[in-house]
Amino acid sequence: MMSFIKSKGFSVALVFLTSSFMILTYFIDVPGATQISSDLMVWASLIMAFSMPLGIVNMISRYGNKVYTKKRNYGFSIMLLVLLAMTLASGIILGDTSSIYTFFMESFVWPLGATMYSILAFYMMSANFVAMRMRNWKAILLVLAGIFVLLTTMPAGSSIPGLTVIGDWLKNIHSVSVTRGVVIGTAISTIALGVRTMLGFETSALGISRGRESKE
Amino acid sequence: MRKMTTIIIEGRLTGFILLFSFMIIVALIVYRTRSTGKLPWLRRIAAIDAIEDAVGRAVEMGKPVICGFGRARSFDSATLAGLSTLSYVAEFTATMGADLIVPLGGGDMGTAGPVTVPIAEELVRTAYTSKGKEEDFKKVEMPYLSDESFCVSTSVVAMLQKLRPGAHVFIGQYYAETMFLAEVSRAVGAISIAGSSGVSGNVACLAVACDYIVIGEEVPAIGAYLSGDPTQRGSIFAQDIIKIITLILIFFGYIAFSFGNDFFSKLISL
Repeated sequence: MMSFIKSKGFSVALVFLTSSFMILTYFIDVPGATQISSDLMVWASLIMAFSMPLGIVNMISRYGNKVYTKKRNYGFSIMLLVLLAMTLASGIILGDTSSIYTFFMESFVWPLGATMYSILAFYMMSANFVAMRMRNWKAILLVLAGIFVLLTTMPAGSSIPGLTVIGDWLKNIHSVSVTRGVVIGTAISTIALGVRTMLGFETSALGISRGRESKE
Repeated sequence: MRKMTTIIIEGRLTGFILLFSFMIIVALIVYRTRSTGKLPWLRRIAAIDAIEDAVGRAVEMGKPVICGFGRARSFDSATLAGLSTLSYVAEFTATMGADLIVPLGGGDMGTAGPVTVPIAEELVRTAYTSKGKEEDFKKVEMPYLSDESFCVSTSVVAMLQKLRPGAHVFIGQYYAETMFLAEVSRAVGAISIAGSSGVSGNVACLAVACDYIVIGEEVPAIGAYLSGDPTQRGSIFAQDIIKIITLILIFFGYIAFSFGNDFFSKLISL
């Protein structure tokens, strides 16, 4: 029985049935079907919640091993494990609205996340420096387009006659048309990917790689 | 018995017909290719072809390979492409004997999240087993870093700076963190091969900062491209046919709309 459940055929059949159902309920108005499809979405969230211990076990095993073998800088691993245990305990025992849990989130996680986000500006600047080197005519066009768009978005830029027109023309005509082209191409490619997945050709989401597939 | 138009939700009839027509076209071409067994010609994707060289370079330098597949909030086309690429990279690291590190996590409480941990482990294990390197699989590091995407990207940046890998392959769901990963990869001298979903995945940033990128429609097609299987490659051929049909529809819609005819706009809203 277990070997049947673990088989590729069963997994593919399950994928085919659920995905067909989800697609059809988007288009077809069948009483009760919408409720079932939203229930299936809730199932997906529940499975995700149940899978969270996988991540926690992975972390404890990895960093616990670092501490046990006293690898270089293992003090950081101790700190991570202690903070993990404290956050977990405060969240489970006191709830995610408790002052201790929110202290951890508001004092550590969110400020650090915001710090990383703000550092992005410097990385963008260094990437721009690389991109804006005028090596050929394409790069020159890129630099010119960049300058126009940059000036358009600046308050002082709007005072220069005609600049806003060029900047908006670049953004609304060229940028939008290229974006739409990419989106249409990606959408069509995703339909083909969906068909491959439903028919059982694309099996990476099931954890089946080409090696095992060829053996089966 | 209800009429077809009342069964279909209002405003979705044309979408329904188009989607199922496209799916039938793909399925038909896939089965036709399967029966003939002819491999359709595909243009090369430089980023995917560069993976072998990148892993080889890492081996020569005695440095590891880092391969991630993004936030994996859901099993969308980018995540699937990332998983297919991971399997492909693992085959090369197994054959060439490179150290492989696969950072996991960053789902931000999405529907995939840690579910991808066993999937990625299974893919890498199978890749190593298929190359007869079961023992080397134990050396593969697959740390689950966090569910918070910025925590994961910070950890990966730290890994990049500490280990200075020879190659960094990251194809999957990447958003704001693309700049960290791409710029730090460049700074530490790693070959960076990246790809992300659609336009929202900061493709422009990747194009600027990475050595090779996979863009737009190439991302969902990676699995089929890597398979070398005529059946799967047939689906990419089908994509091109659908694209031609779409372009024809857009062209006629443009002409009709320019002359004041709203036939196509009415058709879409059916």
